[in-house]
Formats: sequence, C-alpha cells, structure tokens
Amino acid sequence: MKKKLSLLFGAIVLVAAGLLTFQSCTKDFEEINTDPYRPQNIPVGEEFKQVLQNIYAYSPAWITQLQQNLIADVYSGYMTPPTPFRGNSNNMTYDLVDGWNEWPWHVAYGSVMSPLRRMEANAGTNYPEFNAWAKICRVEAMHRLSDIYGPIIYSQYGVLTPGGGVEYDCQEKAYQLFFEDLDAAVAALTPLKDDVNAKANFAKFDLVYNGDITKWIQFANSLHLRLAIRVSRVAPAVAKVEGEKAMSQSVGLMTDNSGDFLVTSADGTTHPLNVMDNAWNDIRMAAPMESILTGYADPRLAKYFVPSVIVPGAYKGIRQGIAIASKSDYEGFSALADPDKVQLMTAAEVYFLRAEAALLGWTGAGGTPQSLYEQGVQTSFTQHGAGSAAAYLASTAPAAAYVDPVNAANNAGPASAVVPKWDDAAATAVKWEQIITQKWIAVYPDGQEAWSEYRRTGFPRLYKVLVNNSAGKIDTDKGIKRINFPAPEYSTNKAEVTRAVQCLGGADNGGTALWWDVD
Amino acid sequence: MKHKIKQALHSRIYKIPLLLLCMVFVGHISAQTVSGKVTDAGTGDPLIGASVREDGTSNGATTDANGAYRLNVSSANATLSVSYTGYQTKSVSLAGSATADVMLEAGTALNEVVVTALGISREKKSLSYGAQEVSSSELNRVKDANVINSLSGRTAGLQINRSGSGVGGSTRVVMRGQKSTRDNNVLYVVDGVPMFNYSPGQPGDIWGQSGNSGNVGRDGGDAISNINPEDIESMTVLKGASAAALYGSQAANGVILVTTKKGKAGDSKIEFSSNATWETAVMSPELQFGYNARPNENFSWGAKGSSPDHVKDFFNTGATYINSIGLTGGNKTAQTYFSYANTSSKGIVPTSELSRHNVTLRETAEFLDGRLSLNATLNYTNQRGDNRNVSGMYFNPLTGLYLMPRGLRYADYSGANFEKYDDVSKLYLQNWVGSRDDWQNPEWILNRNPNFDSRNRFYGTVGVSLKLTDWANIQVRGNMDKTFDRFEQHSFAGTEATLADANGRFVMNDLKSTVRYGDILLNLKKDLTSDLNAALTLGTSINDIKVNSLYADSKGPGLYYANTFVIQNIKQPGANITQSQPNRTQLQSVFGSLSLGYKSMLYLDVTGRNDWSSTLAFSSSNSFFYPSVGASVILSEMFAMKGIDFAKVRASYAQVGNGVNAYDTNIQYAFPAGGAQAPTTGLLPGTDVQNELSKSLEFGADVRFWSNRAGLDLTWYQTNTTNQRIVVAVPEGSGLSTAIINAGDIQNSGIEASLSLTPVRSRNVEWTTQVNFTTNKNKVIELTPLLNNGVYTLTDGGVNNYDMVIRKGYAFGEISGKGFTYLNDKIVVSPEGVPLAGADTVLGNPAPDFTLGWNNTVRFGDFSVGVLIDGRFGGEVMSVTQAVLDRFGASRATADARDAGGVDVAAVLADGTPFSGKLDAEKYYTAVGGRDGITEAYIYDGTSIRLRELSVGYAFPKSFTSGMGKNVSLRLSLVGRNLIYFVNKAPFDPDISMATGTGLQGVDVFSAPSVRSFGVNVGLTF
Repeated sequence: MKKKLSLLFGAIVLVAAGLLTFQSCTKDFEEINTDPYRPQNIPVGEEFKQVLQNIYAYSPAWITQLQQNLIADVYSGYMTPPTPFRGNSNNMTYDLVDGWNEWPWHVAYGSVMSPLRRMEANAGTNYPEFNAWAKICRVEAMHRLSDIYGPIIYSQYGVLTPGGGVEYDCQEKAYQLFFEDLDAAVAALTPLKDDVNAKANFAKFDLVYNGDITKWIQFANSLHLRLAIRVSRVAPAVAKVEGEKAMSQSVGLMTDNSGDFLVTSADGTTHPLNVMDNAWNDIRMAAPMESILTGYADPRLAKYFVPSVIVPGAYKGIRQGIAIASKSDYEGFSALADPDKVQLMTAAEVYFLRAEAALLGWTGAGGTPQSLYEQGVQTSFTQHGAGSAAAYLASTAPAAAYVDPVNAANNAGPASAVVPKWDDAAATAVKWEQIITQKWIAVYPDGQEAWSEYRRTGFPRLYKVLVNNSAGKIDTDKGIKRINFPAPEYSTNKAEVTRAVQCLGGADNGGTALWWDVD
Repeated sequence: MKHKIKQALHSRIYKIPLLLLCMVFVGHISAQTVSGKVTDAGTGDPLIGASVREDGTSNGATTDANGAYRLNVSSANATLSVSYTGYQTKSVSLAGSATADVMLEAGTALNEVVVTALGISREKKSLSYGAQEVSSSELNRVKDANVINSLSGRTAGLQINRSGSGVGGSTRVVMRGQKSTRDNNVLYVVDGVPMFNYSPGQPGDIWGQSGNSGNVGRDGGDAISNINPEDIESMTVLKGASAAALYGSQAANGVILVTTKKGKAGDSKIEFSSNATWETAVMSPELQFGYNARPNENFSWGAKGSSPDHVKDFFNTGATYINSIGLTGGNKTAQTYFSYANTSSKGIVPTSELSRHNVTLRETAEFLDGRLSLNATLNYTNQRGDNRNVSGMYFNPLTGLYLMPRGLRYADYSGANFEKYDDVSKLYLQNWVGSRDDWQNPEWILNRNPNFDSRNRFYGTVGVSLKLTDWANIQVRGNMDKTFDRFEQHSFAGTEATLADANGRFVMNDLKSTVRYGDILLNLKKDLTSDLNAALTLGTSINDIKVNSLYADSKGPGLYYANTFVIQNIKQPGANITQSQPNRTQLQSVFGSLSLGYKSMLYLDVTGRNDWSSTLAFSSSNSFFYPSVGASVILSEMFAMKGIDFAKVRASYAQVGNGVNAYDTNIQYAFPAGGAQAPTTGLLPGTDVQNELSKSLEFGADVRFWSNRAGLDLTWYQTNTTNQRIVVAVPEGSGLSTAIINAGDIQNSGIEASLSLTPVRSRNVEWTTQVNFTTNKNKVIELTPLLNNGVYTLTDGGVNNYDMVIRKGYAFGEISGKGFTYLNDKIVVSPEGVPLAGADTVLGNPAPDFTLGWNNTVRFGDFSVGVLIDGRFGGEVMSVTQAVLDRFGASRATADARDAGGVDVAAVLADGTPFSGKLDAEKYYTAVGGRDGITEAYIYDGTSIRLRELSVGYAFPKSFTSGMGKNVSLRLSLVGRNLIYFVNKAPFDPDISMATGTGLQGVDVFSAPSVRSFGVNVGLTF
C-alpha cells in the first residue's frame, strides 16, 4: 500500500511537473506566432523604398492604370485608351467607374501613409533625417491625392474617432499642413545636408537622389513653390508668402536636370506605362498632344511617342470621350515611346513655376517671365536630348487641326492658339497660357500634375468630350473637376466622408470644383 | 499452414506482394484452446458477433455466423466473460473443460461500452451527450477509399460532402451545422490523438484557383483519407461540444474518434480483403447535338444540324482495387497487428489515376505483471495521383468537352489531332477551336497540362500506461505525424495565354506538415461507497502544428526554354516563388474531468479545460478556460417501467473556446517585388482579439424496448458560437484597410433521432434496421455593424455570379448572386425579350432542411444483404455548369427551348404590360446563362434521395472452407454504391462539393460527374 501511494504521489508530481513545463513554454508563443517567412528585422527606413515606388505605383501595372492612367493621364490630354472599357461607358466618357477610381486612395494610404507611419514609429527620434524625409514624401504623395478628391485624411491619419471613423482635412487645411510639413522638413534637413551619416542612411533606401540630401531639400523647396502656385488664384496672399519663402530658402530650388525627381525601380521593374502600352495595348497618344506637338513641330514628339500604324509615319492621337465601337479601331494610333524612370518633377517645371511667379510679381523668381520661360523650354529639351531650343523658341507655328482617320465626327480645329515664341508685348493672359502650355509639354508623362494645372488654369486648351455619360453630373464645357470619394469610405467611414463633402462645397461627384480651382 | 496459403493462391484473387508478406507470418498455437457456441436463451438462435473474453487477460474472440467461437486461454481454469449487445453479460468458469456453450438472456441493462474523449472507455448508459458508434464491419461493407465517406447515412447529425476530385479526394464533414467563419470540419481523433486533417490546395474561386494569388487549385486529399479502412476497429461520433470539451479548441466542430485494430492475445489470424469496384459516370450534364454553331462562332446558336455525341465516349469505366492483408496475433504479454493495403484506381476521366500503399504496425505489450503496458503504432502511407480531377473553369477538360461548338468533329481535335506542329516555334502546339481561358482542348489538358501529386506520410504513436494501484493509472503518450506532399503541374507551350506563358508554365508546390502531440493523463477510478463511484482524470497536453510550403510558379515572366519543367527554368523577376509557413500553432492545455455515478442510475460529469494558444500571443491574454457539465438519469433503474427495457434522459451544457489564425495578432511586413511592404490588415490601434467561444446546450433521451430489439435515441441541441474571427473593412485612414475583430453570434439548433429496430430475429433470419434523422436550423443572430452592408463574404464571386456570404438574419453560408427583376411576381424583360438582371441578393442555402438515412441489414443463414438509402431534403444548390452550357447553347435545355419556339416564361415589360409570346431562346440564355449571368435561374432544390449502398454477402459454410483449414472463413460480397437516384432535383449530385473548406459550398463548376459503382469484395480469414 505504501508503495502504491508513493507511486501515486510520484504520478501526481509527474503530471504537475508536466503542467509546469508546458506552461512555462508559453514564453515561446511570441516566437511561434511570428511568421518566419516574412522579412525580419526590417532596417528602419526600408519603408522608403515602398513609398517611393508608390507615389506613382511602379507595379503591378494594373494598379497604376487605375491610380493614374485611366484618370489623370487621360484628363490631362496626354493619353487616351483605344479600349472601349465597359461598353465605352467609363471614365473617358465621364461615367466614373467607382471600382477603378478608389485605387489612388488605396495606394496612397496602403503603400505610402501606412509604411511611413510604421517607419516613424520604429525610428522614434533616433533618425531626424528620416522623419524629415518622410514629411517630404508624404506631401508629394498626398497633394496628388488631394488634387484628385479634394478633402483627404492627413492630419488625423491613424486616429480613430469615438465612432470608429477617421476625420478628413478640408483641402485648404491640407495645403496649409503641406506647407508646414515642408518647412519643418527643410529646417531639419538643412543642417544635415553634408552629414556623412545622414547621407549614408538616406542612400540605402533612396531610389531618387542616391542619398544626396541637398537635392532632396531642393526638391522640397520646388514642391513648396508648386503648391504655392497651385493656390495662387484662390489664396493669393498665402500663395505669395509661401512662394517667396520657397524661392528664398538657402539651399535653393532645382535648377538643372540633375535634380529631376526620377524614381528608379528597386528591382528592375519596367515603367508600368510600357506594360499598358505594349503588352495590353490599352493606352495611346491623345489628340491634344498630336495637335500641339505636331503643330509646333516639337522635337520632343519623337521622344514621347512613336508614329502610328493607322497612318503610317504620322503621329495620331485619340480624342478623349468619343464613340469607340471596337478596340481594334484605335489600337493602331500612336503608342508611347517607352518611358524609363517614373518622373514626378523636373527642373523644367520649376522654371515654369518661377516664370509664373515672376508674372505674378513675386519677389525672388530670379528672372523675367520670358527668361524663365525660355530656360524652362531649354531645360526640357536638354532633359529629352532634343538639342537647342533656340529655333523652337523663335517659332510662331500654331497648333494643328486634329483629324481622326477612323471617324471624321471627331475632327476639330486647333484648340490652342498660343505659339512657342514669347512676345513680351502680349497680354498677361497669353503669356500665362504660353507658360502653362509649355509646362504641360514638359511635365509629360505625369498626367496628375498636368491635369491639376489644367483645372487651375484652363491651359492648354483641350478638346471637349463628345460622349458624356455622366448623367448631368459633369458639364461638358467645364470638363471633369475631380473624382468622387471612394465607395468604401461610405461603407467604412460614413460620418466623416459626409462631413468632407460639406467642406467640398458641392455634390460628391466629378462636376464639383476643388478648393483651388476657381474660375 | 503453407498448404492453406497455396489454396488461397490458386483462387487467383490476391496479388503476389500480399502473399509474400503473409508467407513470412506463421500463426502461433497456444496450449489451451476452448471453443463453443453462444445462443439466445429464449429462442436458441445463435448470437453472431458476441464477445468472449478471458477475464484478467486481453484474450478474446467474437462468435461467427453460427454463434461459434474459438479462443486460446491462459489456463484450463480460466473464467470467460461473454457479452452481446442487448443481452446480459454472463461469466462462465471453464473448470478444465475445453468446450463451453453459453446461453445469454436478453438483458434489461445496457452495458455497451463506447470510447469517449481521451480514449477513455465508458459505459454508454452513463454518457450525458450524444455519441454514435459505427463498427468496422459496417464501414467496410461497401468499401470506400476514403473511409469517412462510409459514414454517410449511418449517423445522425453529420453532413458529408465529397470533393469532386474522385478516389482519394477530401471529404467535408460538418457536425450539427456550420458555426465558424474559419473552419467547420470535424476533428478526427485517432486512438486518442488529434489528427491534423490538412487538405492542401483547395480551390477558392469559380476558376478553380487556390487563394487569391492565382495559384493552381486542386484537392491534395486530406489526412483522414490516408487511413487504411481495414485498420479501423470502430468509429465513434461524439456530437456537440460537451463530448468534445476535453479535446479543446480543435473540437469545437465535433469529434470523430477512430479506434484502430490491435493484436489480441491468443487470437492469431490472417485476414485478406480484396475489393474491386468499377465506376461509371452518372448525372453528367444533359447536352444538345441538334443545333450547330454559326460559322466561326464559339456558341452553338446556329442552324439545326446533327452532331455525334462526342461526350459519352469520353468517360472511361473507372476501376478501383483495394487489396489488404492484416495479421494479428500475440500472447498475453505482447500482441502484434500488421497490415498492408494497396489501393489503385483509374478514374472515369481518362489519364486520372491514384495509387496508395498503407503499412501499419502496431505493437502492444505488457510488463510488470500487466502493470505497465506499452502501445506503439507506426504508419506509413505513400500516395500518388496523376491528373486527379479538378473543378472550376481552368485546366478542366470538361469545359471544352461539353462546350465544343456543335457541327465540328471532335475527331479533328482528339487522338493525334489535339496538337499540331507549328513551324515558327518548332513545337507542337494546341489545336483547338478558339482561344478562351475557360476552355481548352480536353485532350490537350489531359496530355499537355498534366498534374502530379504525391504524398508520403509517416505517423507514429508511443504510449505507456502504468497501473499505480487498482484504482489509479498514469499514461504518457507522444505522437508525430509528418506529411510530405508534392504537386506539379506542367503546362506545355501552346496552352492558352491566360493560363500559361508562351513557353509554358511550371507550377510546383512542396509541402511539409509536422504535427507533434504529447499528453500525460492521470486516471483515478474508485468506488467511494458501494453506491457511489467516481472517476477523475487530470491531464495536460501539447499540440504543435507546423506547415512549410514552397510554391513556385512561372506564370508572368514565363520559362526560358519551352516545356522544361524545373525551377531553374523559371524567369525572374516577377515569378511567384514563395516560401511560406501558413500555419504554425501551438496549443498547450490542462484539463480535468470528474464523473460520478450513483447506483447505476444517476451520472454526473464535470469537465474543465484551460488552453493557451500561440495564436493569441501579443494579445492581452493567450489563455482561455471552458467548462462543461452533464448529467444522465437512468429512469429504468429508478422506476419499474412496463415494456421498457431501458430509459435514460440526459442533459449537458458546454463551452468550447478556439484561438484565432496564426499570426493574426502579429502581422509582419510582406515580400513584394522591390522591398518589404507594410501590412494593410491587422488589429486596429487599441484593439485586441480573443478566442472564439461556442456554448452548447443539449437534451437527450434513450429508450430501449421490445426486449432490446427496438431503441430510440433522441437529441435536441442548441449551439451559439460567438466572438468569431471576422475580417472587416475599415477606413483606410486608420492605417489598415482591413482589421481582424471578434464579433458575431451564429446559432445552430436541431434535432437528431436514431431509431434502431430488429423486426425479425430467428434462427435463420435476422433483419436489423436503423433510421437516422437530422435537422439543423442555422441562424446568424448577430454579425457586426462594421461590415459593408452587413455581409461577410466566404467566397467572393468577383466577376462571376456565385458568391457565398454570411448575412445577419439569414443562415450561415448563403448563395448570393444576381436575381431576376420582378414586377407583380413576373420577371421583367426588355422589349426584345431579354430578362433584366436585378440586384445582388441572397438566393438560397445549400444546407439541407433535414437528412434521413435508412440502413438495413438482413441475414438469411449464410447470406446477408445490406441496403443503405439516404436522402437530403431541401436546401438550395447552384450550377455554374448549367449556366455556362446554356450560355453556349450547348445544353439540352437550350435545344428544347429552340424546338419549342422559345422559352415559355410569364414575363412583363418594365411598365407592367405582359410580354406576348415566348422569349427568344438565344437572347434569353445569353442574358441568363454564363458564369456572370442571372444566378437565380440556376438555383435548384438540393433534395436528393438515393440507394447509396447495396451489398449482398455470402459467408461460405464451414463445410466448404474446412478443406483449407478448420479456422478458415471466406466471405464474398457483391457491392454497389449510388445505384439509384430516386430523386435528384439539381442537374448534379449535391453530395459533391467543389471544395472542402468553408466557401464554395453547394455549387457545381464542371466537377467530374458523380459515379455509380459496382464491385466485388472478398474476405478471407485464417
């Protein structure tokens, strides 16, 4: 009996020991519940690669197609698809496709804001250069988003309201925050611009300037000027203060093509426009590009597009918003000359911004409107290897009439009346149109910036749509003004998106003008 | 002995390898042998299958068809214990005699013993929850390569759906209704050890792709299907949470306990079983061959014509051969069971083949005067499948086969003509009608898109049990289950461009799963007083599951060289080469159970379990506790009940918790091309996830009467599963696009009834019959207000017309899609007669309203006949197949409509005026049919009633077998499955489901036709 009891006691001890052994092992749970096939110990700053490849999405190409190509690249007058998506009732004919148009939003929050926030949480205060860099990237990405929708989630990102929603910033507020963030970033980076460690930290993840902090500051200042010019009609006083500030920063602006903001792919992915253009045959030159560039005999034409198949040897663009029965009708129009890196800002654009600043009489533009305009054209020529712009700048050849070889109903005379040659005696409005028209040519293929400037200025003059399926929401003469808020916002964030519509000041559709878009 | 084997050999039934194996086995002879006959004391009829055991040993035998037994005993003065269901157990002292005939009295007490949680044997009458046992002989009556399929119709409370992948495919088994957003399959427990029933590659969409990344979907077979059916002694279905509370989290969906055979002392025998069945296709779609396609069109909407039926000759007669040998033997201290089974099958779809080998060795031994016992099992399974059937639109030979434009000759595209030489690429490329991703040349798919899968599985358990006192023992058990799966698909150059690149496509998936389980149990069992006995079990367990996967797919960048299928031929960047570990989880538990029995009339069970789940690491708590309590009262012991032999009522309440998915609480950066990517799903700031919880209540009654020849088992239950893991879309401004939350309340309530009856029992004839009835009502009481439109999507139809959703107020897993537009109960059509699609709406639920199974065994002397009829009644299912066939003008329905001058539907125009005349067939079916048409037109009543199994067996009399040896028994049966469909309202067999996961239920997307099988089964024991 005694032996049995001791055995029993032993057994209880064994069970108890088993329990203790097992339970003490729950300390391994965190290791077990960490996926070993995900990247481990991400270096702080790795996130910049994802961010830089998603301000304009590098891949997959279908995301880029929905983020920008079937929206701004078309509305800017740069490109038009030959494809009659959805029976030709789609963004091109102003029947805005919600399933497409939520993608700029998804990319901005999922692939820019989210990684930047994680990076900031990981970095803490150890890497002030990263925090500053994040601000610049964020402003560049989010002003583009705001220029699509208007109000956006910016200052309250990641902060849930008691109702589980996230509050928007009205566009005016968002722009104010952009200026503040750029100020803070430039103030933080300026003392570090020659700091070896900071540069080395940048270089690991920098797909644009290879760690050259000076260039990042110059980009931030140039972006600051772009945003100031953007609000110059709706808020002239603020714009002047911000614009002059941007032009007086010690590190200065982008001045030559070595400062162009060109994003390299981290893994050799080709520019997604090539996929849409060549693999899918889903994008072609647009009619305004044909009209203006052929009329001007612009040497950049051959750098941007290839001659068409449909009229061999000639450049043919497709007019937006026309009746297209079959993709094969328009597939043979001019394809794109394969772009290389993703271009988000160029020195040429900055000269045009300065030209407009000079025209507005702002201090610090550093030249006359004419000299800055001509430097802008020459800088763009240089960027594209088009040689000297001297002859071009003396040309008074106007834009050409547009002829659709498939359907004469789409034919139209030249929409634009300005010429390359600057006439200092011309009216300010003509000069303004010349500056914007040349900027439009130079900014190609970044339809997002071109569409924003088109809405702000009305330049270059583009062709109106002939098929308008917006059910009265978008005025054919005024053209599309914005994209309605993504449908998921109404299912997940209804109270806040409803408030955002209030500050939009009009219905949530493509006909309501943004804050800075005043007539 | 060798002589006997030779005779068996001459019968030319068995394959040579089996014989070689048994040649090495020589049965052993014991000194003491006792024999006799067990009969009914009242009628004198022999009792077949009665148990005869020697007390104090593990020696035992069962009686044969004549009630005779033969048993080796340890001593001439041994005491035998003879028992039989429905009879009083009797003890017989041998007192030196070599024969003992035993007469049993029909008993009033029910002493059936069933195996319950943790392998603890209990008297069935003491159970406070529903449990149903199915014996080996029942399971093997009409053998299925996946033994779980044999449970169909035999138990109440189970819904069993087979995948469409043919022999060796996975099976979905849902007990008492679907309750979880994650997994609803039951847990299998083999000899006390939970089995990880992993089934890789299950399709997730109508295309037949797996996951969201365009991976090639398939059915790799589940783990339970790997078991040799002959190794199984019995299966016990433990229903509901109470029965399962001790198995913890994994048991929330119910448990099927599998008890395998082991060697028996003194019972040395060799059992052969050889099973051959031949299968023919039934319920293949009804097609038309009387209307041709217009020139150069894919759709057969042209003029009348007459094409030969090229489909009927496509399917083969399938054949499945299952041969097995089992050797058992041993003495008092060591017993051995060894088995080998070989399964080889050719499917009805040409080139589809499966072969499987199972080897099992089980050793049981006793030491220290029987105080220490050891149990060791080793299992090895090798399985290989070629071109196993796939469902879905992609890589499926049946799409092109059924849809080929009429008027063309299939012979021009088959045989040597499925490919033709292309002078540009210098390769043989596909020769087919037109390029569509949803149809290719069927023979191209079979020969130039072949897939191969293989599995090697090692499974081993070691258990040691030490008897501490006569009322206490301790048991330690460990198990390792390692499975290696490999899948390859080789798509040759010439495969359609959506499915493969110009040089072809190589898909490879290597999977390894490792499951480690260990437990320690302390069992105490003591009579506290003469009236009160108590059993206490305390234990702890650990279960660790790890799955590694390497997936490589050349789709996108493609292959460097055409038709070379190796990883180094895959171009980069952009190919999907993914190493992942989709599931590493660890569960640690402590548990206890206390059972009290008072005077064999009152029983009380209390259990408690605490789990620690690794999936809840990083959460505020990784621990959760759940209890159960149950009671049963044997009324027949308390009161004298006239005409009632046994009556019991029972009640139980239980909770079962469940963790979340691995890594939910800790979602890391992902690898995309070009650098790590921040996750967009996870937990919202300030939130936490916790375990799911199922609470269930059940009441039951068990009554036996008519001298135990009739019995009724009734159960009512209700289960509420709350705190489910749900993924909701959140404002992207929150930092995530989707968040994991706990929410929901899904209720299942139902009734299970089992009536068993022996209407005839006489010397020569015995008829036993059993009816199983199940009804389950499911309701989504609460989901979460955070869901878009209150809908949680299980299968996202995308551009197709089938979605499967959970929606508040409806039942779990509704089929959702486009409806017609109605006005005054008539469908609305355009002025041209084209039906207008309405909004997306809930259209039906595939779960049946109720199921009935009727199982009969009739024995006439040496003959026995088994008849199993079962039916599912109600529920709605959907056929994408029919929709696509209609759209293409390939179905019989479209020809009938054309013959009739249109579709005769009462329709109105949008303004309410009636549409006059019939609707033009082409316009109607073009609008309604297709994978993106009007779903509502393809919803069918899921009712199906069938003769599921029929078997006629003959046990050869001793006079015949005595020439082979005195212990030889020989049995021959003719078997059939799915012989008659009495009713089947859908154009496919609703038993077959496209996938065995939670989604894609109740839908047919070009699954291979169901099969009717006939066969012969030979069993030889000596």
